[in-house]
Amino acid sequence: VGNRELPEPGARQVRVRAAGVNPVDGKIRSGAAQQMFPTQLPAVLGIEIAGTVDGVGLGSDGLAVGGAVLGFADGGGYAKYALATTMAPKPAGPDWAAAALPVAAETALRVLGLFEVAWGDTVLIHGAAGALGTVAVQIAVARAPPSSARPASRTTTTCASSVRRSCCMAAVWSTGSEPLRRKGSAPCSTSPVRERCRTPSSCAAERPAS
Amino acid sequence: VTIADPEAFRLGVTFSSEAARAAEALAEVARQAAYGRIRLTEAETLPLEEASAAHAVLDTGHGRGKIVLLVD
Repeated sequence: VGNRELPEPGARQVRVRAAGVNPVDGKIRSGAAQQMFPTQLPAVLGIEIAGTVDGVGLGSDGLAVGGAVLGFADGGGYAKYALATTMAPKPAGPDWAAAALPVAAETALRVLGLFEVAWGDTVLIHGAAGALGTVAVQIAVARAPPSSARPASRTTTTCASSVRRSCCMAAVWSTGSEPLRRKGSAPCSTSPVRERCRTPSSCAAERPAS
Repeated sequence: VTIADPEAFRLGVTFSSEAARAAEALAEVARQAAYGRIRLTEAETLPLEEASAAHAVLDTGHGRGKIVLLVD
């Protein structure tokens, strides 16, 4: 643990109990992501953490010292203490491994938002066996309206295979008048949408034909 | 859209990397997780001291779920 500045206004110092390891951490470490995330050494890796609030900068909202939180580390999370600005209370249920949630949640919401995913859409997610894909699928499905307003069934299917990039995942719900593109638990390789999903780059959300 | 594949730039596919961090959205997802409405893949945990081992797994590109480093 090196020297750390006191929290800026709006920021908090967190006594870290767990830090999520993300692929981007490896890319920053190796230098592969230097262009996108310019990093000077020495650097502390790690962008998501869970822990307890240890110090509070001026103007921070609601999260008080001692409270359990999870969120994004501003300057490195693989450490005993970290600074963080964007945080949420950690619910009582999940253990400290909830540190794995912030990046997956943010990324899933961001990408689903790009497509304005809504009721009736079919969403195809590559690598859905991983931490992010799993959350993305569930958030997509959760955007279906409540069952009272939903005339037909909703299907979520996870791929059995976790082989990277070899599989896709469809979170499907239907208005009833639209045919489901995928139903049941057929392996992705037999899915009609599989063909659209050969490379990660071609992976896209698509609306059912009307 | 991709969040990981740099081939996107060559292929003209949207590469999304700009984090849109929002505390309220995070809090909502955390609540859903607490209620069991969103389930996380089971994270593998390692002590912070073994961060290099975690990165060795990361570099294979075949990790399942996420690794979480526990800090004493």
